[in-house]
Amino acid sequence: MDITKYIASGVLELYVLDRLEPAERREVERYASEHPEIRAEIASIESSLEALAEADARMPDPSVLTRVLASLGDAAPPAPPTASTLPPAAPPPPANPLNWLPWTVALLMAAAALVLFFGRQSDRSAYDDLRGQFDSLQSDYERQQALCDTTELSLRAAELRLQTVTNPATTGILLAGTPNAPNSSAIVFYNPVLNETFFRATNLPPPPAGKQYQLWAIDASGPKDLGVLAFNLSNSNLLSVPHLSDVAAFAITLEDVGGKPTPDLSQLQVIGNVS
Amino acid sequence: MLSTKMDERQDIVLRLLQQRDQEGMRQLFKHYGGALLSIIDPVIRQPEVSEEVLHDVLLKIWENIGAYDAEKSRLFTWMARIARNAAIDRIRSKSFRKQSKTEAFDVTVRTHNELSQTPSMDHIGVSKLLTRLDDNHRSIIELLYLRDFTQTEAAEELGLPLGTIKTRARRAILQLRTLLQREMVWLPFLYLSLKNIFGY
Repeated sequence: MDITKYIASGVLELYVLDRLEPAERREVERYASEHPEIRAEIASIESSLEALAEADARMPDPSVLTRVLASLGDAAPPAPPTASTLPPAAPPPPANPLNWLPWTVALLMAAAALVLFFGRQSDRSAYDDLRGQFDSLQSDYERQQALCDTTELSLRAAELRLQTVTNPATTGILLAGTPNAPNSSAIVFYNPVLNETFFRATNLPPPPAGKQYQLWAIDASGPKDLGVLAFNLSNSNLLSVPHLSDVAAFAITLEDVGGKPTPDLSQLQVIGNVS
Repeated sequence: MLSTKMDERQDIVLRLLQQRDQEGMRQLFKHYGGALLSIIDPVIRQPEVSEEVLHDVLLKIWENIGAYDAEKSRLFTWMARIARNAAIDRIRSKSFRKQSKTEAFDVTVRTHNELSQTPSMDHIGVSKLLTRLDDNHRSIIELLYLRDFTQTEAAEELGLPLGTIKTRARRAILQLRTLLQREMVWLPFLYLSLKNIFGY
């Protein structure tokens, strides 16, 4: 069989749309189980229609869910004990007419006790159900709350960074590639008023084995170590780095793993002057 | 990117439903309720009735999840079939016909012409995305997917030879795929560029 031709015929589209005669449908299913390409094409048609439905989704009224859950709730819990499981009915009253009264009273009390007992049982199980629901909601809530807290923290941190970066006193210093690494680049945001320095590797290839990038701030007395960059540092991370005042330039060199107290300037990768 | 998200969602909802976990119903409603309505709406065309049908469909999915065969189709394809059949059953029911006797959508006496003459986007629930397809492509998807037309009926309606219905359907879905891909490419792209600009 020519699979490409079969796929191009459109029969798979009609299959997914459920518009084939039973015989033709079975044929598609047989081919799909034999040829992964056909199976994949069907899945891809299905995904398109799913995405179409999703693009056109109209959110239903939440009351629909409430009603559905209510009817599940009716069906879900195990059936409560029914009359047939109760102990068999009372023995017939004894023949002696003087004896029937205490028996009847005792029976009535036993019946009342049973009613109370099963009534309490069902209250108890309703309580347990509610308790279970409450506990699961509570733990859901706590999980969500914890998630919110983390999100809020990282949002706050991001906001603070954004405030500093967009502060009028902040200078963006582009560290341009040197002949050692003409395509490398990085950027430093330097704010001498807020005493904050941020760094972002906009384009640094992964360092060669045994080497690590080291960031330097150069002032009147020479280069000062600002630390080595993590090996897996993403080019999109904005890092807060130690702030030094009166910096004239920032630079990155490629050093042995762990960094050096003074830079090997022959390994200069990028450099930029604070204007 | 989007399709992995779709797969992930499908797996979660399916697992919960198979475990008979009521959370599965909540997730089903949240993630698929709207999409299922988009299947029901074009058939029913009365939002409140659509939601009643959706209610029945959700229960049917819950009850019949054991019959779903992951080897044969995606979960949504299976659910969409249940939804469409339920919607069609509803408009064929007496109570519905009585209720909407002034409306002209009775399937048993279809008024096919409205489709080609007036663009159907002004009707409730007809796809917004579909309106961006070529007319030919849009109408074939509407007839076969969102309405209850057989291949033969669709061929008559569109004045096409029966043999071209399949290829027309294929071209329509290919165009839809391109359209969706374009949208899917844009969103992550926008997200990534924002991420790059702000650095986090």
